[in-house]
Amino acid sequence: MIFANSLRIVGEIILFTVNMLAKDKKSLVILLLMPFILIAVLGSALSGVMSGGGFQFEKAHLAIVDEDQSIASNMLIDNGFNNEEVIKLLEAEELSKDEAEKLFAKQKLDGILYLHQGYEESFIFGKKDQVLLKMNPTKAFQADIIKQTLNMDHILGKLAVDSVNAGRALSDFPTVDNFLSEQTLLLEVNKGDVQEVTISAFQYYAVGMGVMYVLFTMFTGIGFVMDERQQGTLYRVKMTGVSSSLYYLSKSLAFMFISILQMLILFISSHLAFGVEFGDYPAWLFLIFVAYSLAISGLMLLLLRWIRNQNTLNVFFSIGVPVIAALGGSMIPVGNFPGFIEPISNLLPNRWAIEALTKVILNRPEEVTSHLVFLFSFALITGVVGIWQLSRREAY
Amino acid sequence: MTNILEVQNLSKSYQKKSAVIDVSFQLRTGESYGLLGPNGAGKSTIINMLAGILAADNGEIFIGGNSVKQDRKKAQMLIGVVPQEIALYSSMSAEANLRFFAKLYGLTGSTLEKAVKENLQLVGLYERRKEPIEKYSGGMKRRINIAAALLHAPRLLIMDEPTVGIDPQSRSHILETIKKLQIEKGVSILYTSHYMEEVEAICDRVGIIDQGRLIQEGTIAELKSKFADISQIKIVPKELELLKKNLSFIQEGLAADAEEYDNGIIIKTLKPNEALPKIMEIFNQIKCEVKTIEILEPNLETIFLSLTGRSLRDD
Repeated sequence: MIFANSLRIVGEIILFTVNMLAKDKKSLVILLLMPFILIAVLGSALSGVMSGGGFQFEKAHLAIVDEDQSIASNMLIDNGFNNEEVIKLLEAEELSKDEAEKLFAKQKLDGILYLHQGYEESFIFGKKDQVLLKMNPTKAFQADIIKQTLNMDHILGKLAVDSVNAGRALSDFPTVDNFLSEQTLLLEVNKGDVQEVTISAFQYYAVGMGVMYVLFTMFTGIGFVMDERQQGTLYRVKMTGVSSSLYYLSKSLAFMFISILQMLILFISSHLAFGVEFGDYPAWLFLIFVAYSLAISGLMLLLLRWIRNQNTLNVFFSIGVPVIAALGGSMIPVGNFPGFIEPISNLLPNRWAIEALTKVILNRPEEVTSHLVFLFSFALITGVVGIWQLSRREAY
Repeated sequence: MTNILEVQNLSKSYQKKSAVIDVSFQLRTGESYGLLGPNGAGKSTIINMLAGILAADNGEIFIGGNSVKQDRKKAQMLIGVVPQEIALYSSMSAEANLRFFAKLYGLTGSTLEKAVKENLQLVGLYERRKEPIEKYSGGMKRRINIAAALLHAPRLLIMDEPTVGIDPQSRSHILETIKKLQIEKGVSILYTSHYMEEVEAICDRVGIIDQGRLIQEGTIAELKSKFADISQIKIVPKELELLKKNLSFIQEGLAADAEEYDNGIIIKTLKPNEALPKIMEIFNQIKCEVKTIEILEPNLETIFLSLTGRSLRDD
């Protein structure tokens, strides 16, 4: 009975808040029109300056350690990685084992491909063979490029690199099965293959701006709550017997729904207006919207405890959001950041959301489980701590 | 007659500063009680404690027999609070506001519709119910602020300065509404205001609060009779500093109490007409020009002045 009543109150507060926001034209313009304009401006600008309209990620740096020094291994290195289309994405150079591992340890390389002794022999006799591929787990985009490039039939055939997981410790990287075929050395890369590993500027900024404006939505939500504190409506709500925690939970859920709606509208409008494609897994995209919006609602609850006046809110709104958005990769991909920023980025839900969304857009939803786990855990922890703090502060 | 409200030895401090000190009073069912005090006297703190929004450090509050400490929700359902601010969503219509708060009070269906309609009619805004609050005049906003506190038919209505900053017409409408609530619906009223004439018109009993303490209590007639012998002469000089320098000389010359008050002095005397010529003579002696001079008959304002040495209003 109490639960049903609480649920009814949560529903009423959510409906009323959404209704109120719908009447607030200024907020609507900021939350819906602005990201749409930014997608148009940034998407068009970057499409114009780049060939093929793709987003230019920083090239991946791959070292090849040729322990075999055979005709086959030399052909692979000379022809396989010197292809014009591969060069656009990947900078590969042959290094000694020691040199490669030193540079890798200093994070100056994104990956090392080991062609072991006996590579040619295995190739000639058509045997199953193994190569070792090490990749830098903190350079997700570069790792993707290497993985995708090596996956091309024209280079290494069906090199199974799927067990190389960005989240695993460096020392943990396995030796992977490699099924080489004769086609391996017939090197001709189609443009279409290369396109698969890039994401268009419009796609990237639809994701980046969508994720960033959810942060703005969260701060709009905090502003709404602060107005209620100041204008006395929160006082009146409390007078009806509604507890602080129920009220704050309802408000954060209201802004969660608004965030989901906002991202849906942005993606759909980007598709309709600019023809942006979002892959073949809309349900996965929606799941990430939900997880991310929930995470941001949790963060909203946590921040409500600390943001108590308009000045603090203004600082967060004008400085906090752009910084968090930039660190999360809304402006440029996180892979392009210097190494020391990566650990900070890894703590931000927007970084995980952007990466998850781009993976789904590239039709790789199977790779976003860890992202979803992070986002849902973030929501749970920040939400519980936030509610607890707020209830403690405003307890009768 | 039973008490709708019982306040027993209520105290509250903020960071070691006492805001309310050992306050006790009762409100009988159907009665209206005025809580008078200047800004910062502790009125709002008391109201917040009565409303169950703020916990008391010490003391007990019972509303309709329910302890606010132990049965907060039950107690809250018996009271409606009209806060000093317009605690409404300004972008939403009056009707949407009332409907929302009625739902939070747990009203549904026809009960909700009836409560919203009746209260809009009570404050005379039914015809304009669809308009957003931000388009209302100050007086209309205050009226809807009252309606929002009445949705759940409370037995005690607590009103914190409900007529601040509005035109006389709206003030009179609000005062009529309060009277109607009291007479027709038997609602008890706890009223705070800076306007003495409002308190005199509405309240059966008055409590005067200063620096967190309840310093006087009674019906208006009782208070007036208690302080009947106090007439006061309020003098505002052209040069306040000169007057301050000669304050003890004035007191000796008049053989009466003279106290500093805002931008002048207050002289307490039993026979103001006899005192006046003497006052003028003393002022001539000290060469102090008088800007205004006023004889104050005993009323709540002068009683308050005489008790606290301060005016109720800052202006």
